[in-house]
Amino acid sequence: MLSVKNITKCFTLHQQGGTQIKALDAVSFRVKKGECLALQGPSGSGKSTLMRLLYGNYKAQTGTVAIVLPSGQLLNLVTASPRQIIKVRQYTIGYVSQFLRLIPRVTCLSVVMEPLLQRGVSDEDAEGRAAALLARLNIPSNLWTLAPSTFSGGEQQRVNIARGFIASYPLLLLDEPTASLDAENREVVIKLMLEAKTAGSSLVGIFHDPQVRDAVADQVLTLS
Amino acid sequence: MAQHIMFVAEVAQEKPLLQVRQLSKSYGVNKACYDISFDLYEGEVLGIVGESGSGKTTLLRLLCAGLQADTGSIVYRSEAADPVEICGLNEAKRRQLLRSEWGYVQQNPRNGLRMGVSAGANIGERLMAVGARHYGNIRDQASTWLDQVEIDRQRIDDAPQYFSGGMQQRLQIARNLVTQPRLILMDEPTGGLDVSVQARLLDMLRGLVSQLRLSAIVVTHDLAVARLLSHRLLVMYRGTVVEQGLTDQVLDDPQHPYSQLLVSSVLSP
Repeated sequence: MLSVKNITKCFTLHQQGGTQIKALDAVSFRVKKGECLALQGPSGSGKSTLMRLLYGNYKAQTGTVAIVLPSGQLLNLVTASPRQIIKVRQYTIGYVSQFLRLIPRVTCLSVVMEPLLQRGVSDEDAEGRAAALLARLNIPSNLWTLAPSTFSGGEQQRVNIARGFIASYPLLLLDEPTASLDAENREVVIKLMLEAKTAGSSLVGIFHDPQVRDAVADQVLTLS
Repeated sequence: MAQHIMFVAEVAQEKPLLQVRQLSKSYGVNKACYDISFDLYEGEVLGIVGESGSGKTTLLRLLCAGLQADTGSIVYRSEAADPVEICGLNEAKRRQLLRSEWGYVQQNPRNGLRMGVSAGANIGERLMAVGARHYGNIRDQASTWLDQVEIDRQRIDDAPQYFSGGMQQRLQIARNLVTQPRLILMDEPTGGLDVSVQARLLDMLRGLVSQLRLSAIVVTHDLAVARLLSHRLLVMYRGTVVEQGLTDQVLDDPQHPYSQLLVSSVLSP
């Protein structure tokens, strides 16, 4: 599903004397269909940088990130055009970031429905599926029509998770999806991840919680 | 085996709506825009960011042929006819295009509206310019558009000179969108509005762009606005495009020294 070869990422800070920071040096790995890879390493070891590279958010200097498109063709994310990446994000790669990006006036339900609407699912259908998922993640229904900016950290994270899981993606990237969740909600998220794997999705995640990692990961990549 | 991987080349053979090549414009020795090239596709929003004086507005005015470029070409693939070269288009054709298939939202709504005539007439005027004649229909459409941009229908007979700045801007957007253009050019659509009005306007624009599958070019100096509205971003500096790419990639991992300066200079509340 995903094959990463010799990925190198170096940041050049032009405004700070051209300082060079090497974040990733020749990283390679593969993730098969339905498999979960956990990224490990101390903070600053490049875990989040790698996740962002896999989402086309950061640009790598060298190496390839090959991903299988629904058509069966392969795409190299390192050299892909912006329009290709937009398309890939719509259908192939989902990303659950650590923090929800808040947009004024946009309701919780709309945030969760959006990926489905972009795929052309009807409003009614999308809303039904969003409501079911929010209920499953224990977000009280009186909050659904509010904008999530006033929600607690844990609630915002669950809204973000709902947005990531509402549509199915062949590859799902998860950046500490359970960081601010209580035990009960953590179980729900573990279940969602296992279901996605069973349905054939590949996962790449950063899980600080060893319990979560043991429950979902098939292989571990340690960065240093 | 990994050596023999074949990658797909491009997203299906879609042709761009607008194709800009090596566009330049100088004022005396000042290069306001220099060697600018980009493509815009249907349903896509392109953001143009940069400090004031970087050539953003000049570029926008070149695109709608309000200004004559010194060199370069702009090819627009119009709906009905063959591709049109915008540079050197005659005035009659240019006006026809601006009325029917294009829209232009000015930074100052006073320049884009007729301040003395009613809100309804401001919207209706563009409809009549493309051939609508039935008064009832025009008024109905004007009312519908007032709803869309969240202006009370009761205000349809009031002139925009009695509207607040935010309402004027929303009215200007309604006036531009009523004829269902395919391409809309916006110059700082949220400039000068207070943040609550800005949030409302952005929310509305986001909805309209995806609902109507509009293509848009949005000039802004506000990076948050650019992130929210645009799919792709051009960063301009001293008349040239120093970086272009996917919006979040340019903002989160800027490559050019000027883009890095721009991104690192923003205060977040």
